[in-house]
Amino acid sequence: MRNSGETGVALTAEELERYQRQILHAPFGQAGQARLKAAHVLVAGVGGLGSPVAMYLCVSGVGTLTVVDADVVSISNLNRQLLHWESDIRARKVDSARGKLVEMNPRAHVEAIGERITRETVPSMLKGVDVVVDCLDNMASRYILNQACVDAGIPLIHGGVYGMMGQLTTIIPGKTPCLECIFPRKEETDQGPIPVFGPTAGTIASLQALETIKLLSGVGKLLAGRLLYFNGQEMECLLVDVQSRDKCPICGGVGAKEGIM
Amino acid sequence: MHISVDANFTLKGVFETPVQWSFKRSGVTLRELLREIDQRVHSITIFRDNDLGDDIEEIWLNGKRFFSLGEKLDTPLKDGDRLKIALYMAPLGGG
Ligand SMILES: [Zn+2]
Repeated sequence: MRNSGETGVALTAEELERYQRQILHAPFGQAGQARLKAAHVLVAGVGGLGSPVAMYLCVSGVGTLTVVDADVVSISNLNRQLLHWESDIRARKVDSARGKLVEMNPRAHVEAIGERITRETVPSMLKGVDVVVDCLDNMASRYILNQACVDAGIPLIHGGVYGMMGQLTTIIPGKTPCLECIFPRKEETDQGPIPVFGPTAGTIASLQALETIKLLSGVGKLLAGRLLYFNGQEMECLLVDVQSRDKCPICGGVGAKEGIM
Repeated sequence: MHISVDANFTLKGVFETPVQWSFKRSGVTLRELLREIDQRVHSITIFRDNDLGDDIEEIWLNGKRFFSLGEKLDTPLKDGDRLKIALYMAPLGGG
C-alpha cells in the first residue's frame, strides 16, 4: 500500500496496476489517483449523458459515486443510454445503472437514489459530495440543482444536448457565473421529447467526465467561466466566455461586469 | 479599410478574436461585415432581415448598442471602427 500524500488515502498494488495508464500522466500521477479514490461524485440523471459520465468516473477509480434518477428504462432510451439494455426495460434506471457499474469496477462504492431532484430532496443528496455532474434532461430540475450547488458551494459540471448539438461548462460557486447567469430562466414550455443522437450525448458526457477528473485531481485548465458549444452537424466547436448577471437571483452575480465592452 | 472585431466567442482557426477585418474598398455597411462573419461561423445566425439574429445577445459599434444605430444594419462603416459581438447561449435541455 502506498500512501499518496495529502488525501491520506492509500493505493493498493492492484489499483496502481489498474489505473496505470492514467497514473502515467505525470501531472496526475499517484496523487491524482488518490484524490479520485477519496472523492464522492454525484451524477444527476443516468440517461444519455449520465451513463457515460458514471461509466468513465467509475472505471477511472472515483471512490464513491451517487447516481440519481427517478425514471424507469423504456425502449426509446436505448439509442443513447449505454448503461441500460433491452433486458432492463421497466427497471429503475438507478438499479440498472448500479448493477453495471459495480461489475465494471467492483471497488467503486455506488449509491443509487431513485428520487426526483426537488427543493426538498436535493439538500440531503448533496451531503458529503465533492462534485455534481448535471446530466439531467430538463431545465427545471437543472435550476433546482444549480441553486442547491451554489448554496452548498459544490462545483457543478453542466452538460446539455439537443440533436447533434451539445454544450458544457464548469460552474465553481463564488468564482464563475452560475447556470442561471448563463441561461436566465424563461417561461417553461413543454417541448415534448427532445431529439438526441447517442454519439452527441457521448461526446459531451466524455468531456464532463474529463472535467470532473481534472477538477478532483487539480490537473489542467477547467472550462470555468467558459462554455464549450459543440455543433456536430457543422463540426464546429465554439468557446464562449460566459458572464455573471448583475442581478442573478441565485448567485448574486459574482464578478459581474457591465456588458462586455 | 480595417475594422477591429472582438467577440465573446472564438472558433479555433476560423474566427479568433480580436481580429482586424480588412476590406479593399470603402463604403462597407455593418450588414456586409456581419454577413462575412456569419458565413465563416456556421453555428451562429448573426442577423435576420434588419434585426439581430436569435444567437446574438448584443452587438456594439464603437461602444454604441445596436438599437441606437439609426441606420441599423445599413450603418456605413469607416476605417478604424470597432465592432463587438456578444453571443447569446440558449440552453440545450436534453440529457
Ligand atoms: Zn448566477
